[in-house]
Amino acid sequence: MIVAAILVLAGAACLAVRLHHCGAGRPSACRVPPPNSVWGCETLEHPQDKLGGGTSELPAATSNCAVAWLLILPLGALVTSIIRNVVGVQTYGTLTPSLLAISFLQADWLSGGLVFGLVMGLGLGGRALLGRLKLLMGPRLGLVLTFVVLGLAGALNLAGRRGYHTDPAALILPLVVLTMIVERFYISIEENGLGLSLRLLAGTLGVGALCLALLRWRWLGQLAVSYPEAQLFVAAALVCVGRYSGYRLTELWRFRELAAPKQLGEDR
Amino acid sequence: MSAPARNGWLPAWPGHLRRAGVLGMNARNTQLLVALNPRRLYDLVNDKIQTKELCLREAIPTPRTYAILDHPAQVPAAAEIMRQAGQFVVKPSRGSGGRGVLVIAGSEEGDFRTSSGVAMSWDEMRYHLLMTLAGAFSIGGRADRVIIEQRVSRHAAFEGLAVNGTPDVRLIVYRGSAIMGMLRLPTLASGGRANLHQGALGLGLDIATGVSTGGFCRDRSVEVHPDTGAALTGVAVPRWKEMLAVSEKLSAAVGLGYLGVDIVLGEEGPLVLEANGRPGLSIQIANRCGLMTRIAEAENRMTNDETRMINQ
Repeated sequence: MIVAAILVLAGAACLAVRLHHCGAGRPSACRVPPPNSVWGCETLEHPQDKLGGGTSELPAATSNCAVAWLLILPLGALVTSIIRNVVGVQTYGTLTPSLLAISFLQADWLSGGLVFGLVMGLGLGGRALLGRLKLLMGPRLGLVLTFVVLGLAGALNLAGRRGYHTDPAALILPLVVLTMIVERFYISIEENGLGLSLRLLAGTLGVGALCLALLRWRWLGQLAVSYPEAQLFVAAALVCVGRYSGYRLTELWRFRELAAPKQLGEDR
Repeated sequence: MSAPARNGWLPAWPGHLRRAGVLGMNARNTQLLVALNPRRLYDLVNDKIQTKELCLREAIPTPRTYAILDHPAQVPAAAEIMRQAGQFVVKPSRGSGGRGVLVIAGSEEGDFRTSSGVAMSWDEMRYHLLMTLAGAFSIGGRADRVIIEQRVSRHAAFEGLAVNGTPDVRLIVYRGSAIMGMLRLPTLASGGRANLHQGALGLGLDIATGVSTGGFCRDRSVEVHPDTGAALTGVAVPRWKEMLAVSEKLSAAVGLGYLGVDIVLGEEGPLVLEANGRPGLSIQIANRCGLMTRIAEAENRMTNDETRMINQ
């Protein structure tokens, strides 16, 4: 708790010093460019806009975009740890939901949705068929990936003919992360039964979606770039969550039969 | 000690759980495991071959080992070992939660039959062994080793209580003394495995006598066995004192202060199957009793013993 307090104080001190020097009106002017141009990642979908605005801005905007993503990652980690340790939703692996969210960050809605649908559909279907071939894990994962990539290439080609263009590079990461989740889901069915596996899958996807919604929030991105000191608050919150030893929300339900509403002495 | 069971779907208040001494996952991780289980010792229990070697050194009984495979080239030779054994268990050394464990109840003409009655060819067995060696079931997907060991068949005391599998006893050992126990019974739903996630039954056991006090399945209380209809209270686990002694001996040898020990009852007595450095919390529901309550009792006993020793 002392560590958390020190982090909060340090963050507040940094913030105060910088605001004092720059004036509250344009807090980011000292080190980072104004926030308006910062969260420009989504304009990457329309490169022509950027060219119109002057080529000299392009490198700056791109690097700011990367900086915004970097700066917002700890927040994703914070959300994941709160949901796992305080709420108690179970997921496949600790960082998989954040990884999923980060991987989808650069994809736009249509291509992201396409990748998601294809991997879930073709991946689950293809994996079910591959189960009979009895392959070693690596090649099997590769085969699922092959199916999905083929499907995706076809879909993107079709979309391209209808005048829709996307950056395939943005789809590589979601593809790989989702394929890994599908594989874990399959192994988990054999080991934990379908019920728990579905719950874990839903947990992973749900927490991932929540993280994604948060990470895509323009306002947060601007805030993260304008006030890097806020990272110290996030760190403080992480320390608090890390030291939380109380019950998880789901445990209140899981252990409800054990609750002792009265003092023990009052029991019959 | 045992609060009346509450029904209904409403969650409990945190204060009420605390009063019942219920141990939560966060408290287990941040308080017990950090203080009692040094990380460097986990390998002794995560790797079942290391646990077996430790047991051999300490003269703690375990199921007989037929073979240990650590390279795919040894797989063909395993066929002969399996043929001679007839019935046996195949398990990955670094699996967890019953992952990749195969129980073979019989082999005829090079074909195998699992304890739940599923036929299995040598080809399928070979594939399973190769998968296991490649790390399909190991923590973190690392290359693994395979244990082929004696299959301990169901003890006569558990007739009618388990379907297609062998029951086992989970004991929680806190700083050298066993504080809580649970009998795990395979069901049809669990596919013959004593894995609670898959629908096996957990029976709370009186820690002093080894007599069952009630059962639970998938985190809810049950009165009778779902498959056989046998009553789940009053089941006495034979050779209970030996089981307690074996678990405490193993915990002392491993050096982990908070340990789950899985024991199966063979004709020759209790045999250690494996140990777990991060034992689960469901055992509390089976026993209708919180682990913190038992831990406090154990601490009290230890302080009393110390004072007595000082006074003498």
